[in-house]
Amino acid sequence: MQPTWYLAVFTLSILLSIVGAISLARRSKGNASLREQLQRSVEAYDAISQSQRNILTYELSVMSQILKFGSTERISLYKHDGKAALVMIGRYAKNPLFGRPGRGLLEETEGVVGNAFQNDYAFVDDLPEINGDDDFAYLGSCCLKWRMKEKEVRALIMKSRTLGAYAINDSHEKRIAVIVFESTNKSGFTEEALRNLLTESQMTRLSLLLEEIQATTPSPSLALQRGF
Amino acid sequence: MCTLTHLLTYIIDTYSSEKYPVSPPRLINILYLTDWKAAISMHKTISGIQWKIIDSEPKVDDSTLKEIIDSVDRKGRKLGFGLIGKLQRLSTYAPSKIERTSIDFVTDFAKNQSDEALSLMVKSTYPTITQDESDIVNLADLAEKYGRVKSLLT
Repeated sequence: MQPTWYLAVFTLSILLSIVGAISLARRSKGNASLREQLQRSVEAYDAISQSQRNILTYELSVMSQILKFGSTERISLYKHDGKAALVMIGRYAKNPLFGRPGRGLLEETEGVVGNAFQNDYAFVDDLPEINGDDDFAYLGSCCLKWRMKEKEVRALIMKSRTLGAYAINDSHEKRIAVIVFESTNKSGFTEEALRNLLTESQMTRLSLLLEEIQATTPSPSLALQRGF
Repeated sequence: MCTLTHLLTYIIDTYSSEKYPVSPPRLINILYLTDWKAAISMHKTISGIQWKIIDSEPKVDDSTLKEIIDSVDRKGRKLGFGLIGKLQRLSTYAPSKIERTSIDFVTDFAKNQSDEALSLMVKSTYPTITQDESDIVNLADLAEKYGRVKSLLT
């Protein structure tokens, strides 16, 4: 009788060990699977964010190709935000240095961009050259004629000498954005070249695109309202 | 000073949203907004993360990302939270009362936001709009600069 009782306990303990091992293996597999899913969620999130940015960048890169822009030019798109700000929401430059966001946030009356926002468009192709450390003439022109602050002009990564900027209106004729073309060269491009590019249909296309992506473009005024 | 581990435990323990459950990307956005909120209100950050802005989004290094994934993983398996979270709050490394003000503000905000809305809020903050891609951002310094341009936005 006693050996049978021992055998039963022994068999039961073996069975429990097997069940425990299977359960552990299943759980371990489940954990690995969960971790993989979490890792993939980060990758998927990055991919979605990237595709939204690509729409604007692609649009600007096509314009850059049409204008035959090189490494001394760039195109940026600013949208109006809040009471008096212009926020950079898209930029394309072959030169990565010029593709950086820079100040990102401008006053709506400041510089060639602000001037275009107020008066439909602005163009300049002869801002003074900077000779070594001598930026006096360049500073003077930017500050006096284009209402920029000295500190901000000095901090500019791209010291453009040719700039053309055009205001964009929405379907209700409300001014919503400005597109800006820049070159570090004197007479880097002509006003005529920009006018040929920015036809009425092209401006409508840009306006519709901006309206379409309005809900997904950054809005610092919204961030401020929500406590950020 | 609060450690990242204690901060993650606190956030995961206090964040509850059936509609928008916690995930690694959501947690990264919550951590970033918490640091930005703290930089605005306290002139310092809480997490100790060295944030980089890449493609207009805050990014963390690989070891921080692993810690974030681990914490969500533990939450998914219901391990290490609840009692441990409560015990950790007694630690000197737990978020202080003033730090909890920023953290709670952000978790309360985040739990009602879809992934897209939360991401847009992150992309709308001053640092993500103004920072160069390869730089480690100093949120406290940027909060000071932000204070000077805020008037354009109101």
